[in-house]
Amino acid sequence: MRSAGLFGLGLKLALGSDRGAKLRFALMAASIAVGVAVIVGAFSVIPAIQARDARVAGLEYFATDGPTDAPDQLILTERDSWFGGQMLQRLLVAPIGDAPVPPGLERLPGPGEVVVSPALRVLLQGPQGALLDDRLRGRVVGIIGASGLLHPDELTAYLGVRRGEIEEIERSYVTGFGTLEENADFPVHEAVLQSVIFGSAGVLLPVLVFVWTATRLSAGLRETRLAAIRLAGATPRQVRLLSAVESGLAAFAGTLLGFGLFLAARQLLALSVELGLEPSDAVPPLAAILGIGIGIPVLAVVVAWLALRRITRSPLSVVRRAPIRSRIAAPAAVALAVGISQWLLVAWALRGLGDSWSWIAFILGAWVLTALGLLGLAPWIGTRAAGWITRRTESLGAWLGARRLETDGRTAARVSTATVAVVFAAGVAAGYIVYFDGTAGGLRASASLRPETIVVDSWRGDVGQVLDEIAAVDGAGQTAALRTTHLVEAGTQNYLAGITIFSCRDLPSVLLAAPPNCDTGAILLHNPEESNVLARVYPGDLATFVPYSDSQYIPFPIPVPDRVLSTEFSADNGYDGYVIDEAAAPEELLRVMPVTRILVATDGRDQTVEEIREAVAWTEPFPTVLTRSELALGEEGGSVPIRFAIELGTYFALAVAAASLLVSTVGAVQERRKPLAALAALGVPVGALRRSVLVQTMAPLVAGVVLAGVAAAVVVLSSTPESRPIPWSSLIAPIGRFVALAVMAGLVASALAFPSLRRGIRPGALHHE
Amino acid sequence: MPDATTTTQVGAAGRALSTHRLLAGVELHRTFGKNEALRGASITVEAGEIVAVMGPSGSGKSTLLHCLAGILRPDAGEVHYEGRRIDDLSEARRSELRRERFGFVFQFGQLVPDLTALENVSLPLRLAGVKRAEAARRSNAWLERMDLAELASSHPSDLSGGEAQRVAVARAMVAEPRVIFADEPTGSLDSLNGEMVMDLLVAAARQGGAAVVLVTHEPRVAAHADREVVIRDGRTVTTPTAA
Amino acid sequence: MSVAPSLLGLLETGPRHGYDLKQRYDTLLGRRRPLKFGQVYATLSRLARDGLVRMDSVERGEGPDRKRYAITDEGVADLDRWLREALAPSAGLHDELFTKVVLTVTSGRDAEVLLDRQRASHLQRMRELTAAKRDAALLDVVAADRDLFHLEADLRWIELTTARLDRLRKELADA
Repeated sequence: MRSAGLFGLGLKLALGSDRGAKLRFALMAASIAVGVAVIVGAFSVIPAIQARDARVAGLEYFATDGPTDAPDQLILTERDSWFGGQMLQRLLVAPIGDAPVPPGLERLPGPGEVVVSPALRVLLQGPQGALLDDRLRGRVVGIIGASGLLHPDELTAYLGVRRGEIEEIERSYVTGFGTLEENADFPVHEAVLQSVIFGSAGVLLPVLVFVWTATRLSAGLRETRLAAIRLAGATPRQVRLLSAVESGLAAFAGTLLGFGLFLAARQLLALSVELGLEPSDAVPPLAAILGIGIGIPVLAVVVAWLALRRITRSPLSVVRRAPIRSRIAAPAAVALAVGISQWLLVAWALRGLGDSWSWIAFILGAWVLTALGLLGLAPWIGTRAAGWITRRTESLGAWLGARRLETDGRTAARVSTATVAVVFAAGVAAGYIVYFDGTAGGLRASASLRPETIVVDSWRGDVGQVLDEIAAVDGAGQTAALRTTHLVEAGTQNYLAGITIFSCRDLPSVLLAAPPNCDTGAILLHNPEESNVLARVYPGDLATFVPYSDSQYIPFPIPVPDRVLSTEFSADNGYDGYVIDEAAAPEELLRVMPVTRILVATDGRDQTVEEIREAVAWTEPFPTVLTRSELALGEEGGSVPIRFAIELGTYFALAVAAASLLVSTVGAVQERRKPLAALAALGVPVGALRRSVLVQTMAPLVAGVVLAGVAAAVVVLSSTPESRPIPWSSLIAPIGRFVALAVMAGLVASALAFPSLRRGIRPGALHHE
Repeated sequence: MPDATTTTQVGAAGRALSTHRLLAGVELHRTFGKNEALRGASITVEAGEIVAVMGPSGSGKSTLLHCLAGILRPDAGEVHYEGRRIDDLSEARRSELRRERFGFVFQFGQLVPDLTALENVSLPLRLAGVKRAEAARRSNAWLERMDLAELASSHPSDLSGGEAQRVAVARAMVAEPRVIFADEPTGSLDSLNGEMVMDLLVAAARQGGAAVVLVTHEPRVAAHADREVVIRDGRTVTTPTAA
Repeated sequence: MSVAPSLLGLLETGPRHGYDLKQRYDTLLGRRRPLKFGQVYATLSRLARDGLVRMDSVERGEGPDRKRYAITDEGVADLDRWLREALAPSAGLHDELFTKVVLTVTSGRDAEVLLDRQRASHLQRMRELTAAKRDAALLDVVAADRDLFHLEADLRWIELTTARLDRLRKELADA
């Protein structure tokens, strides 16, 4: 048969006239597409970050606190505001001499002039423009060009002011914009690199399993078909060529589709202004594109070529397959043991190796070994669980399923691999997120506020004018002023406890629930278990406190509290320690402690928030005005989009694993149509057959994912620094969530296989070989 | 010479007659998509007799067997077992009937590959609710009776075709069925193995008092039966006696 | 197998001369060996003596009298009976069965019924042989199997021929 004819036949076989062939082709292409999109995405992360860094570098400036000798400087200060949930950057500028011009501007704005970003311009021209006018106090004379923007949608304004005005407030002196080194390399922070590697590996693993599973679907049928062709007279080489063509086509289609998927997905980057990335930033290196675009189809062809060696040796060898006993249990157990012991080593002895690359390699090695060990061991455990079931159950269906697991090690492997991998990776990711959340410190202030409360933060004390301005706004109501600082041991820097002063009367209008026992003149001590203030603080001792605006340390006798509560006071970022009503606070304390936060009760309208912002836009000490939700965002600690991306990634991986689980479960039922039909003919009730499918799927699955969850917890607990330990109980919910989801996926996959079971047991299967 | 008559039952007469028979199929019709497999086939089976259903490939023999056994429901016509209609029973009830009263031997792939020969044989007993240990004991007894004891712990893929079919016969007999349905039981076997399996099947059935419905296209296999029913193009054929 | 029934069958379609009869026999039925004239005339005389055929007319001419023979009513009845009978299995059965099939088809009789009857008869014999094989000495079993296989071969031929009857009818009608 000539090659062209063979190619045509291969094409016909691949795209096939029967539904099964089309389905398999589509599945293989889809799974490869997903994998390609992930890999290409992974390769694009670094270039994207570097592109952004380049843009950021262009905007960086060299600044000093006081005026320098240089003749040409720009006096600059930043006074941010917020508008509708987005930050509004205000940069006040005044030139000295021929001052350097910030990138993106044609010229500096003079007093009474502003240069705004395109998005801000649009806002100003819109119906809400009036709410911004007061903050900008100027005529728009220009638009910031692209080189001056980090993100096209950002709200930024350069406000021209008189030199005299700006020198009264905190400011910087800028001598130049842009980085020192031209063509800097923008090395990416190691933490980012590590995250990329781990993240893609974690997501890629289930995708690979999905590809493998999709390829296996009806693999037996394909092999038989190809064997029949061989029997009909085709040479081994021709048969392998046919199979290679089929696989290569699917892989090629999948690769193209994958690139398309990637291009579509990267548009999502534009959604987040904070990330500062544009879709066009995410461009994989050319070498990666070529490598993937050519490599994947070639790899598929090679794999198909190799996989058929068995057929081509003897076309009949595929007919009778001996059951495969799991032979990899022992090495897998060893790998897992080594991996876990590495983690334990890390936990007890090697913490603090630091961020070196050898540390990374060690961690990566431990991670890989643990993952591999899990993957190898989970099926073995599933088989053992099956043995346990076999010996104990009297239910015929369960017994049949368990016997199948015992006899054919591949079944357990096929089922558990994908989900175990995902649960492990997702559990680790979730655990790390818990850790990051935990280090951000205790309760969130935003959780205790009423939804309509506005938060006004300032660093300096003189808030009289601010309060006046706020009071003048329609819709602003009761205000409560908080002063917060912390106590240190006399003569040292050792932290003892926090101390917060406010007026208890004012709180109910701004908090969801007033702190317990807060009356006029009360002195409360909040002593949460984790921080155990009482271990450090002894009423009667002398301590000092540190007011923010002064470097002076002020002695403070530790008072005896009226009540000790085991809760944390959270209206001002979760402090433990003393909470003192104004009436009980000493005079001089009130004098030197600055008001750090003002809570304002409002009528809840968006208009009111903006009016408050306008009112204080130019008032010392330029406080930040935030709504409750904006405050909550800021309290997240890490970057919200990255967390979101991680969570999205884990759910995506779980979905992929569930898909491959479904495919393999249905495939398993298809493969065994004849024995199943015979069993049904014998009178085995359909319910029993369903139970056997259920047991086959769930036993290794449950065993595997529980093990994976435990392993994930061990990994997280042992790799997080000793200084800030997280209690293992806090990992139960996040990791348990994925275990539960995986179990549910297994149940759903089994249920979805039932109709296939019903169809499969029709007597037709009993006739044809 | 006894006449080789088959009785064709039609309508009420047929139904009346069927009350005396163990198993009766009356004017059965069954279509699969465009394929009319049965177009009015009728058959009766007495208690303890061996009936061969003969016909070329595609004639509907297996479909007839499936209808009689309650595996399939006919589109038209009736199936009676011990005088009661079974074709209008639910799948669950028919399944119950099969596991309590019938035994099966097929041509291919009927043994569960994950189970040993012993476990396969014990399946009908487990289905009947017999406890594992007791089922194993009785299955072993059958295997010994059939000289298959040393195969008890082998898996089907380790057995030759003939051995697998003999295990299937043991499985069909183990729960003491009243009817055994055998669909081309020797179809994939060579002559000698085929003879062995047929001898075994007939002897076991006679001993247990079970009737056998034997579907085959091979005359030498049909020769083991007491009589034959010929089916062609979905209809059972009446051969008049010699004049 | 005796030639007499064949000649009767050939005469059923119409009176023929002896020579004519031989030609037709050779064409339709004489696959193995052609019929000798002597045998033809001898058989015809016997049939005439038994009243199954009669002489139709005589043409004077050279050589033996060109007598024309015709079948009688009794001859038709006899033929009918013969055709309907199932054959006892024997060595010459093949030829006889073949003859019967051909004659049945050419005379428009129902060949399916003939074949079905033959099948039933064969199966009965096979049943007897199979039953006899149980508890028999191995040598007897081997002998019985030999017959069984032959019978099976016949039955396969019967199946095949049954499937081909329509086409056969057409072909023989044209002949």
